Amino acid sequence: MTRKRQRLILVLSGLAALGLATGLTLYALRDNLVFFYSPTQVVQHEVPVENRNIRIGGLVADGSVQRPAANTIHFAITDMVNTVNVTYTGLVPNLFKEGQGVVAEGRLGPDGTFLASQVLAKHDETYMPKEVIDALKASGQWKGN
Amino acid sequence: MAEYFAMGGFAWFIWPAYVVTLGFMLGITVSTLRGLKADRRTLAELEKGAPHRQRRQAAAGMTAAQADAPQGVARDA
Amino acid sequence: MANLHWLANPGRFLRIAAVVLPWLAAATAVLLAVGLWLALRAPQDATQGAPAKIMYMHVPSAILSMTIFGAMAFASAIALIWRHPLADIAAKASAAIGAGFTASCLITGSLWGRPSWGTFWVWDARLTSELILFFIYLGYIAIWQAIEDPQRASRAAAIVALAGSVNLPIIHYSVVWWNTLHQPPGLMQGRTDPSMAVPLLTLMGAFFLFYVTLLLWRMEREIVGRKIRQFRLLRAQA
Repeated sequence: MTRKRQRLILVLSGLAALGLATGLTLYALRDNLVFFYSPTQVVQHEVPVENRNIRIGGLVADGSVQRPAANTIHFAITDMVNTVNVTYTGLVPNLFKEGQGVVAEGRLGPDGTFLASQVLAKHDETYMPKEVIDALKASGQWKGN
Repeated sequence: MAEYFAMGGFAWFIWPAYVVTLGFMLGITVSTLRGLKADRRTLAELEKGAPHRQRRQAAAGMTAAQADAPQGVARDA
Repeated sequence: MANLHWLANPGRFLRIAAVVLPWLAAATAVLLAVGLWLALRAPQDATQGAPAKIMYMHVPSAILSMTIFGAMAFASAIALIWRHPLADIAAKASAAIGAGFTASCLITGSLWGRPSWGTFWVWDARLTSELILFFIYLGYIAIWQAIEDPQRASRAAAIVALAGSVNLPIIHYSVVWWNTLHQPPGLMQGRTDPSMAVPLLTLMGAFFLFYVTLLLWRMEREIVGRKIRQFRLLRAQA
């Protein structure tokens, strides 16, 4: 066995060990690495919600947005299975719209309403000019909303 | 034209992004080429005064700093 | 390995680089100009509006930040195992370019995030792993600065590059493995219309050519610098 072959094996086994260690660490931390929970996880109590700040992500449910007072907004986050009602005081980002992705951070109140302290818009990976979307909708090939 | 540069009110987000990226690319190119020019001049001056033997040693030493290369590569080839 | 040996000669490398570089530099300039022209007159994105234009700087920067680190890790492995002097020089010469593109990726992403998400920064898996990549670049550069002897510095830096490469798949798959605020890649899934994908791909090509061109210049500078160092050592001995 030449020295080069020894070094090759050393480097490869070092990388394999490091990769395995990283993989196991990430696997152990997987619940902490998610940025937000889905409404279903919250409704089914899969998330520790008592007195803890959490983030809920999903789509703004169609027809759910209400503005009872200036700067106050009520809306619902849905994952198409379950829905969580949200109350937020403050400005929402430009992309905030019914049917669009959203991530709200805050606490779950005793009545099941989520009191958000921050609302972030979540964009999907679609990049298209308006004319193209209109054309796709006209021809019935549009898959988004 | 002015309307285009205003970017629908987002000019302060969009143009800095272009300035940062293209500015970095230009900056690192200029600094690399300037340094290269200066280093080439320094090396030329060192080589001018040096005896032939020293010149060859310097060129060889640059690779010999790597213990068993390139002879080590040749052995395997 | 005959090929590696043939390229191992720095003198031959410099001669080839001198022939190739003018063409590479010209091609980079042309492709960059065309890409910018296409990007600036690309149509507006329907949902995001004007801020989507930032992606033409952000996405190529992001891809280069990872590609360059991958190249450094590969070159470092060759330097460690086969003691190939040019591989070592290539890895070192890449680091500043990669670190710059990583910073550019983070800054442009932040400038996009504020108007689009409503925040400059969040600690989601994608953003955090890219920030870690930036710190690994800084660590790699610091090792070359801190260790005087090039041979010892080369080994320490190569180990950092190889260990750091574990982060690359984490960055890439972070948006798939965990839910993040950052969107998953859409370019190859047909979710990006050609009117925006073509300028983006052109700029990616331009940024890649830019990396190769600058890498050759920086490698030449490193070779010249090492010769100067050897001369000074010989002078000191004489």
